[in-house]
Formats: sequence, C-alpha cells, structure tokens
Amino acid sequence: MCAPTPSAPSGPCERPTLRGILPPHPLAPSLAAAVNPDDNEPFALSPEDEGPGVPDRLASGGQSLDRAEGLSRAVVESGPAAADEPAPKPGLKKRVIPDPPEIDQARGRRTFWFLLLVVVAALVVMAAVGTLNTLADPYGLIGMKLLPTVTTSDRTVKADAIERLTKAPQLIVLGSSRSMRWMPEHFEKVTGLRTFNAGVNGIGGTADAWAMVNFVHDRFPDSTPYYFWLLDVESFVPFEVQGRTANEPRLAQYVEGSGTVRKTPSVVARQVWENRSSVFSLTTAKDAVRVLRNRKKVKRIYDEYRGRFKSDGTMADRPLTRGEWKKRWPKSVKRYTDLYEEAYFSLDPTAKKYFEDTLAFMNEHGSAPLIVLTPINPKLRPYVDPLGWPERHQQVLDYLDSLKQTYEFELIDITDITTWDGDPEGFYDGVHMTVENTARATDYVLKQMAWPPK
Amino acid sequence: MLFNSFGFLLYFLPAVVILYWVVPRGYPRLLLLIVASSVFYGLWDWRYLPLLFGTTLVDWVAGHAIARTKEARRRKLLLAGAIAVNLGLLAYFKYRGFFLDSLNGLAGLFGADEPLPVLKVLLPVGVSFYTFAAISYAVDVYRGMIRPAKSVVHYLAWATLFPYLMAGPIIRYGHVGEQLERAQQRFRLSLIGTGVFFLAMGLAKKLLLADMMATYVNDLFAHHGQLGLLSGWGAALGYTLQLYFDFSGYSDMAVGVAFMIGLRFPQNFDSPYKAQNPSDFWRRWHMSLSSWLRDYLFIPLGGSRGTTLATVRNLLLTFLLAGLWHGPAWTFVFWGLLWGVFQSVHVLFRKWGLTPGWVWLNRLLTFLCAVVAWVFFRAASMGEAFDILGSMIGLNGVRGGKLLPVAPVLLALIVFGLLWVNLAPNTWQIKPAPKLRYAVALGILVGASLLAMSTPSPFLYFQF
Repeated sequence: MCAPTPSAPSGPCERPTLRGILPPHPLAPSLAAAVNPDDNEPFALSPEDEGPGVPDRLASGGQSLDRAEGLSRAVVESGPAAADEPAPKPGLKKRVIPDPPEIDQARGRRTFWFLLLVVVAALVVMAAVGTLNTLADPYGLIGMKLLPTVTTSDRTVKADAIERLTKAPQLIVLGSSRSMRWMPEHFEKVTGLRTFNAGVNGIGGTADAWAMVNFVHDRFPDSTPYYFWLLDVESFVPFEVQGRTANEPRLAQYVEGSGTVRKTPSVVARQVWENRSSVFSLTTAKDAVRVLRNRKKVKRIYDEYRGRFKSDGTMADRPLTRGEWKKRWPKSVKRYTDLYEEAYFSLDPTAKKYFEDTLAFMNEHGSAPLIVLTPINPKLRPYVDPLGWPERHQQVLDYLDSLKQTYEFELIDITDITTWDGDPEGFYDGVHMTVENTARATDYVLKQMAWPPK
Repeated sequence: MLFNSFGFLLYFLPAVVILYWVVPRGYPRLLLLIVASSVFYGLWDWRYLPLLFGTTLVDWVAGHAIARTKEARRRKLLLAGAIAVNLGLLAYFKYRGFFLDSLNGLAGLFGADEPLPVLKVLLPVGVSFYTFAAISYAVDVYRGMIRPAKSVVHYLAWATLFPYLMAGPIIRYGHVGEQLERAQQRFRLSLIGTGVFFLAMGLAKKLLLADMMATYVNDLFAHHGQLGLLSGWGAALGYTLQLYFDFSGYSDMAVGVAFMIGLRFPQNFDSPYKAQNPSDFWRRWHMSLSSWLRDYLFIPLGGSRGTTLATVRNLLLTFLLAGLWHGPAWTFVFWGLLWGVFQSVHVLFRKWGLTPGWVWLNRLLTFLCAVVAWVFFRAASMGEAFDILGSMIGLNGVRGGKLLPVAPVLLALIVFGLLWVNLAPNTWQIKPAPKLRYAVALGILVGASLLAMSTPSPFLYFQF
C-alpha cells in the first residue's frame, strides 16, 4: 500500500502516469518520443538554465521542484513512464504536474474551526467597515446627518429651501433638470404670483414631482398653488425612484419603498440593507475617512454647491464656455441615444402611476396644473429620431390625451422650438436651455394658454 | 458570471459545491457539473452554448474515431479535420473582423471604394480557451498519450468545466479528465479549506491589487500623449503588475473553486517576474498556454532539435501565433513577435556564451523585456504603444507642463507590487495550514475583497 494521498486516501499505489491506465497503442512509443522535448527545447527545462539562483527544477523534468517536496501525486502529461511499459529512452523526461499544496486532511476538526474563523474574521471586517460607512454616511444614503456628505443633493437643498419659505408659494414649477432655469422671478414678473422652482435633477422623475407636491402641501396645508409642470418626453422611462429622492428622508417618506423621517434602528437597518452595495464598500469607506478627516473642507464644498441655488429654488445662470459645451454635447448625445436604444421603448407603468397620482392629488386640492412638454435641441433630433423619439413623443401625447377625461389639466407641447420662436443656440446641450430661451418659452406658453386662469 | 461577483460567491458556488457532494458519485456528479457549467456559461449568453458544445464535441467524435482506426493516413485525416473545424470556428468568431478590416485597408490602398461588409458578431467568451483544450484532446488521443474519454459525459464534464471555461487555464483531458474518470473522492473539509485559501488569495490579488491599479493605469494609458518619463514608467510598470495580479488571481481562484469539488488544477503562474531569461519567463507565465504552444506548435514545428536558425524560426512562428491567439490586433501580433525575438536573442546569446552570469541582472533584463512587451499588449494601437515607450525613454521630458503625474497611490502600489513579485513566495509555495494566524489573515482578505467587490470588474483575460 502507498501512503495516503489527497487523490487516493488509501489503496494501491498510483502509477504516476496516464499511460499506466491506457492500453498500449501500437504507435505510442515512437510518437511519445517524437513529442517529448529534449533538453534543448527553449520551452523545456534545460541544463543551461541551471545557474546561480535557479532552484532545482530539473529533477522531474517538467516543473519546479523547489516546492514539490511532499507532493502527493504526480500526473505525467506525456512520456512513457509506466512500470509495465518499455523504459523511457535516454534523454526523454517525464513532464510532471504537481498537485497544489493542500491542507493536511487528517486535521479535519481543526479545518472546521479554521473555516469558521475565516468566516468570522471576514464578517468582523465587513461589519466594521459597514458601521463606519453607516455612521459617517458620506453620500447621505442612510440619512444619519452626523457629518457633512461628500455628495451634493439638490433634493436636500430644495427641501431646505421649502422649509425656509415664510409664505406659501402661489405658483410652483415642477420638472427635471430641464426646469432648473425656468426662473421664478420671470414668472412673478408676468403673472404676479409668488413662485418657487421645485424641479430636481434626473431623467424621469414623476415620483420626484409626487414627493415635492406632497412635501410643499404638508409644509403649507392650506395653500392652493398653481402648478407649472415641465414634463419631458423622457419622463416615462422605465422607472426607478431617483436614489437621491429615496435618500432624502423628507421626500423619501412619500415614495414607495423608501425610508421615513424618523431614524429608528429598524429604519436605519432597512436603509443599510437597501444601500448595501454602498455601505459595504471600500470606496465608501475611503470617502467616510475623507469626511472624518476633512469635515470643514467637505462642508465648505457642500455649502458652495448650495450657493449655486437661489432661495426660489432655481440655479444661477452661468453661460457655458466653448470648452464646457464641447464636453457636454457628446455626453448629452450619448446619454439620449443610449436611452432610446437600450431602455425607452414604451411608457413605464410605475412612472405613469406616479404621474396620475400627482394629477389626482392636485385636483383634489383644487389645482389644475398646466403641463408643458419641454423643448428639445433641434440638433439632437437627428440622433434620437431614428431611435424612436417621434414615436415616444406621440405616445406621451396620446397618453396625456387619454387622461383628460379623468383629470383636470391643461396641456401645451413646445418640444419643437420653432413653434415658439426658440433660439436653437440657446441650449447648454441636447435638452437644457439658457435663461433667455426659458423666458421666451414662458412668455409664449402663458400667452398661448391664457394661464393662470383668472 | 464572474468569479468576483456576489452571485457567484454567495449563491452559485455554494449551491454547486453542496449539490456536488450530496449527489451520488459517478455520472450524477458529472451531469451536475455539466448542468452547472452550462448555467455558468449561459448566464453570460445562452445563445453561445450550442457553439461551446458543438466545438468541443467535434473533438470527442474525432478522438473516438482516431482511437478505433489503425490506418495512419485515416487517423491523420481525422485529426486534421477536427483541428480544421476548431480553428475554422475560432477564426470565424475571433478573426473575421480583423481580416476583413485588414483586407479593406489593403483594398483601399489600391483605390477600392466599396469596403467588404463586416458582420458584427459578439466574441464568445472563452472560445480561445475551450477550442485549444479541445484540440489538445484530439491530438493527445492521436499521439496515444491518452485514451479517449470513458464516455461523452466524462468528456463534456471536462470540456465545459466552469472553473476554467471562461479564461483558462487550458487544462488537458490527461489531467482533469483522468481525475473525473477515477471514482471521485469523498468529501473532506480539507478540500474546502484549501479551496477557500486559494480563492481568498485570488480574490485579494484581483480586487485589492489589480483593480486598484487599474483605475490609475487606465487613466495613464488613456492619456498616452501626455506622459513624461515618470508617468510613462508608471503606466508600464502599473500594467505589468496589474496583469499579473489579475490573471494569476483568476488562476488561483480557479484552483480554489476546483478544489472545492475535489479537482486539482495545474499551476498556471510560478513567480514569472523572477524569471532569469525569456525562456524561463514563459515556463512561469500562463504555464498552461505556454506548455500548449510548446507541445502542439513549437515541437511539431521541429522545436530546437534542428539548427539554431531553425530554432529561431520556430520560436518566431510560435510566438507570432501566440500573439494572434490573444486577439485580432496588430498590437498582439507585434507583442508575440517581440517575445519571439527576445527568445531568439536568448538562444543565440546562450549559444555564444554571452548570457550574463549575475542572477539579478538576468532577472532585471527579463523583467524589462516583459515590461516593454506588455506595453504593446495593453495599448489600443501601435501609435499608443510607441507614445508610451517614447515617454519611458524621456522623449516628453520627465514631468511638469501638461504631463500627467504618477498618483502617489499608484506609486505605492507599484513599489508594493514589485516587492511582492520579487521577494514573496507565490500561492503555490505557501503550504496552507489550519492555524489561527492563517484564518485571521484569510478572513481579513476575504472581508476586504468582498468590500471591494461593489463594482463588477471582469478579468483581463476574459477578452481573449
């Protein structure tokens, strides 16, 4: 009997060759000789390679033996070597493939505790990093608010601004990032109504509108504002509640599957679970440490971001340089071509549900919103038209038309800028307009719709 | 599915390992492996499963036919047919675009206006690996090195085995097939323990070193025109180490996964940057590929049994094809040619007695050869590679101006990586033992690796 080996715990000796289990082939010896490298093959181990510092790699002819001591099994890849076969020709070498090193199988009990300890150590490391990331919450995903965040969230800025309002807004602008430069001061000039811009970043965003409308209502329950809702053709893309809304507790309470304002342990645990890929991440840990070490700097950066917003919720206008335009335009083209190529084939039911819930909520509280289909840069159309933009546009119009019997709202489509004499150069990229263009569009819409109604 | 994904580590692997040891030995286990491997591959793209089974079954059929035939000419024809089918499919899926593009380029030079249409077909993951493995089976049966697989189930369990299906190592039937044919062993915790050891080492190499370097290296290669002496070397050394940790990490993980189902894979990396000459390097780097090239290409070409000139020719041819195997691009072709030249120079120097006698100088020279060659391997174009090599010899200056600096983190990783590959033992030189310090160290590595896994990052060799 041979000594036990990993491959054969007990039993007869294994022959260190495959040939031993093969019926001898009539051609085998000569073929084997033909394919066995001799010592001079550059790929083989040759005596010339043996030099200072080279371990003894030649003994078995094929692999390093510097760590082959105690190898349990050797498989011969080629070459005649079996005991019942003719002796190898002089000069031919066995090519031995050693087994990987292995834990001693006799130590089964110790191996159990070893594995258990590996798991425990791994869990301890993960728990430690997870706790750090939860407490420092560098992206504001958990809503701990113990430290400033490295990310900037316009949801938080807007929620703060709404909380700071002393009087209820009489007109509220809703929408995506495209609505950011529809200026309340211009609305106020034309309509005389106290206006707040509650638009937030992100394609889609009917859930954002739902959350904002509810939040404003809870802040000013007795008010009945007018709503100027800038809806995009892309507002109904396959739906996911925008992470930043889901993670701003004051807004998250209104959207499905998000947290609530109160940070009970179970709520924190749920937030941790929902954001597990971020909480259990070394990248987040790096930012958590950054926040801990540079609290003041991080806070300053955040304050600078806040500074870009005015108290009425809009962003200060800033003309783009040629260089910035060059960077933004291809990104914008890619973003929208990807969207139409890969994701936006029909209107998403969940996005529609949030949209209709918002309409119902507004109607219940005495408001009939004006829905404005937002303009698109005519230079982007050649890219997105072949990918289905006209079809989605028509679908959105048909959908809105179908809602008219159920909900009360006004609709105007200004996607084509020629209808309102828009400036094709008045875009920052494929969809975002300059203040001059938004003012021109505002004037056209208000005049065309005779809105707000007297 | 990637080894370094939660789906694999938390669901697929535990499920397969548990089922493997629960189902009865013999055919049920082999069938389980085939199903698991199909799921593993199919999760990438199930439409390519027929190609995987078709390509590999060609060699199963050929192997059986060869074994039953005694007539030499017929055996040769059968082998040639199987290889032609394998290489034909490989050429179609991998090189069609390359050849058509090259033809179009050539036709353009002669004034042709209408380019040949290039049909875009997704490159099946692992096609280079499983095709080479299948070829090795047919050739080994032909040579009488192995007998045909015991059954088609044994054969498919080997040919589609998920631990090496996607990116190697190229494992021959004579190694793992033989293990599958023997009565498979009983479950032992030492198999799981050793598997965890290799898996943890591989995960750590990939996620904690290779991926961390990748961020910086990718950025430097993307700005190849703006690199100075330091950043040029930063890019080249960074990639040299990134590739090693990435691929040797993957290979360690494959060994670990195989261990958990009682299989032993051969070593694929043996501290390659400790090599003392180009020939030695290729016995230590991607050993399963280099031994394949040696046994199925270099030696049939005549190896080094002829004149020195013939040896040089065979080396150049072998490495040229090795370059082409890696991908349909001129950078890979040049990379292969470069290694052929390095090997040839070594052969000539050795013959003339000009090889330096100082070990560290030999190692340094070999390492530099590797660094230069990897620049071509990584670069998207020949121009990009020459840009980086130019910056490495100071053509753009040392630093300053618009030149990119080397991030301190990358510098630290490079120093750490260089110390690791030159001084530390490789995974196979560490004898795992169920001791407290090993458990704590492995646990920390596993924990840190899982924390680094939030962003999916494919292995570099998946593209081949």
